[in-house]
Amino acid sequence: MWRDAWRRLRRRRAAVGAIWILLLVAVLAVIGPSISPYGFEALDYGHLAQAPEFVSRHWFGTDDLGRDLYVRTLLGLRISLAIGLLATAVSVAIGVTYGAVAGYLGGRVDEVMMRAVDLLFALPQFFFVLLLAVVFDQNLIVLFLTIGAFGWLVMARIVRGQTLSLKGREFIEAAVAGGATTTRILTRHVVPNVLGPVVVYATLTIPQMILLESLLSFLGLGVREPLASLGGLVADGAAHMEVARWMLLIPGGFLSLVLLAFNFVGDGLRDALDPREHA
Amino acid sequence: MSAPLLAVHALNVSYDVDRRKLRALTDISFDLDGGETLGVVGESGCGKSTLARAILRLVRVASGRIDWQGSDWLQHDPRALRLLRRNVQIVFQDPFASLDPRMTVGAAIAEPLEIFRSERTLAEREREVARTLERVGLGAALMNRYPHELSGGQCQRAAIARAIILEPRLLVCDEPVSALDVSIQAQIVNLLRELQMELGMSMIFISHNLAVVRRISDRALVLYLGRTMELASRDALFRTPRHPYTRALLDSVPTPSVGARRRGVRLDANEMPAPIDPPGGCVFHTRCPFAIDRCRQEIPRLEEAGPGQRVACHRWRDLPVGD
Amino acid sequence: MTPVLHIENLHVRFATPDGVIEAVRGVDFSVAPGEFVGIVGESGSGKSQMLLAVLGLLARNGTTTGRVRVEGVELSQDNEDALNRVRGARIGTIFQDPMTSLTPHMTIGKQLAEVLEVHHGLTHAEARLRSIAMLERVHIGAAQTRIDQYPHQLSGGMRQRVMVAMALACGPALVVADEPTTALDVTIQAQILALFRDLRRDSQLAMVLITHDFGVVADVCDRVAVMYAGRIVEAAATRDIFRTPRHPYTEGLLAAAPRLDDEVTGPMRTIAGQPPSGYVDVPGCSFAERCPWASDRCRRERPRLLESGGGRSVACHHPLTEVRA
Repeated sequence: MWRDAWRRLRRRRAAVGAIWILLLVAVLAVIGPSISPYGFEALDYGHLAQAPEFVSRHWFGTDDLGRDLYVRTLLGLRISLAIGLLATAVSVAIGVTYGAVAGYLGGRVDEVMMRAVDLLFALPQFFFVLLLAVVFDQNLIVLFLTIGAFGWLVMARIVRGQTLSLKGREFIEAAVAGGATTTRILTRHVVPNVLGPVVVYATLTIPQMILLESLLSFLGLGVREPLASLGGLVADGAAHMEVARWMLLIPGGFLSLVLLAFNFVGDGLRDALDPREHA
Repeated sequence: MSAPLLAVHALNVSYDVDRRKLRALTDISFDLDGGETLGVVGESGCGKSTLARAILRLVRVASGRIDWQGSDWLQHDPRALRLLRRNVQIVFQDPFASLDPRMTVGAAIAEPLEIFRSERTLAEREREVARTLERVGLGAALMNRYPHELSGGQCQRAAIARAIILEPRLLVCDEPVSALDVSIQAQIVNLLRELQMELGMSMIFISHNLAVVRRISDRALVLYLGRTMELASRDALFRTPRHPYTRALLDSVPTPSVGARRRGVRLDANEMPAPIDPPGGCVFHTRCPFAIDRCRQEIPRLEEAGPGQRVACHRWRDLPVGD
Repeated sequence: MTPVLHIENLHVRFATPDGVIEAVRGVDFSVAPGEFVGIVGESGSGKSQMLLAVLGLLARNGTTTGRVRVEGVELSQDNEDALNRVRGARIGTIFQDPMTSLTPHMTIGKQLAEVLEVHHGLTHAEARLRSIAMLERVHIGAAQTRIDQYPHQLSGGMRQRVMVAMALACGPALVVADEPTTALDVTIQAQILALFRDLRRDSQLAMVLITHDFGVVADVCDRVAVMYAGRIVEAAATRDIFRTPRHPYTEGLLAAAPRLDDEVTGPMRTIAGQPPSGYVDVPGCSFAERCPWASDRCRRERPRLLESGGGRSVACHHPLTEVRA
């Protein structure tokens, strides 16, 4: 099934292109900064707010404090990607477990669990994230956790739905008849069979997480200085838009590219894994 | 005479549908000895699949007893129940649906071993799986394949392998050959027969195909709308059926030969009543060509009509016996 | 007499990512007016695909080659208009699952009337009268009330009768039925088969009945064609096929199907192995690998479908000659 999906995915050029871009970006984020002679917080007084040029090796230019934008952008990319992936991992872990248990156990347990989700859903998520960011003084770990903690809600709903339809399938009945415990059924039979939609949704969650963190950074509540995520760089760039356009355009461009690419891959995966898709 | 392996007594199973109660099985009783095969026949809505699931405790039983080797296993707590499960296994109708599409055939067959820890090491388990695959006529090489890579017949053999790897005392087969081609059906029926003899298993063989049931069963149970119509030894049921429904069933099966004499019992052109709303009195009376007033009012009891033959019909004494 | 249906050298192929599947491999087949013909085969035999090809209902990745003539008129697969005119008006269809063949949100009266209005230009009132008549013809009681019911209000057997009525609505010359009784209970199946026997008495109607059940064929058909791996391997009058099956596959199939009147003890007769996949076509006889009498010649040279008189034809190098009991 994965092989067929892969084959179908390969045919969607947008998705394939997006995958290449993401790979490229990832490589860049990992090894890119080491190519440059500059550090991310080094202040180069000789080149304040300088446009991108080749000679001074400030390939993306510098910001108003003389910091090299190439290194900062790529580091920002690293941070944004890390946040996106980690937060998504948290929401997947929580969401899948919660949804599978609720869906499989059914009855009252399911009702109670899903009402809890409905309740949390109704809360103003952004507000809470803001609150926690302020209270915990922009601690990076707390940031990861709080962002991820809200992402699991939709994942839980999706997984619960999938589990409900899986429950009636005969191989689950066969496992029960064979004496399997509920835990075994959930881990060995339910979860592997809901991975399809989970992977799709996870891929689409990553850009949401990145965007959420970017918004926080824009408000000054994201990753703390001198570290900066792409969002933080964009915030900086927006403030200096008139004198140093590249400060906004370059990190902004990378951010948009990454978000778009993840969305394309996610859409492509969703179509590729859809069993009703014909040749 | 030793106690039967399985004794079902006054079993009732119902489902809630739209706030109404659908009685899927009403007052079902039968015994099963070691090594014996009971065929269960009936048409849609008769409750035969529900019976399979009730025996496997996959659905809730409203009332009644299921005595396994003397003790009522409806009374067992979940832990004891799990341990009992190694003795009763099931084979389903759709071989592809009964195997986890994400697991290899080998992993699926090994699962009962993992659950009941019969074999300790991975190597021992693999050997056991390979042995069982051979037993059901599949090459050990198929261990690493996925269900969708196999044919229907091969998949069903794999499902059977999974069911017998722990050598259960009772195997329940719910329409095990209905989804297979005719030439493969015969292979699987033969396989089940051989395994039964080899392992000394009892079998409950559920099918709508009377001819297949006839080849494999020692006794047969005829169900209609959740109730027993007739319970008899194979010869009695197929040679001298006494219940009008049994006779209608047998007469409806088209014979593969030209000019076969079309026998007696014609059912009224009425359709099967909906199980949620069964007729009063004898549930079969709306379609029975021999129904009288008593049939509309009084539910017939299951009575002895001869050696090894019990019928639930008010008129079994005065109706001519099918030939 | 112009055959109602004439198929010549029909090939049906499907393009899949894993290669080309040839479901039908050069079939010649004819149905005379008023004739009831059964096509028997297991999965992979191509029997259903052949029917779908004639009706122009193949999946998108399917291609048909060969000639199809309906009442003498050549049908081209590309001419959607011509196909539409033929479907429904000249050829009625009955599929296996009445649940999915009827539109759930339209009353059966409307569905019946639609066929009539489209093909015969009847008015609403005329179509309704004719629909009631059709329902009565297929023995649906209280047709006046039933006609305004929805499919889910009818039982499986009743729905299948409605399918028959729809197939017959425009007075076609041919009705094709693909496993029409397989999804029905055996007592209901008996009623539908009785209906078919009834229709058979109408000398104008021809039927092609696709099934895996020889019992159904014995009950309803004048002639039988047995298909294996995309080809017809034997064709004969029903009576002859049962008494003297010539092809080993036909014989094996007849022997493997359990009957209520055969002996009870001992293992069932089987055909070893399993039906072939549609991807590979062996040079010799497709059945050779499963045939107990296969010779070297069988594995090298593909037997052609040869007529042997009396309306019989077999594709076998060593046809059987014994009489079955």
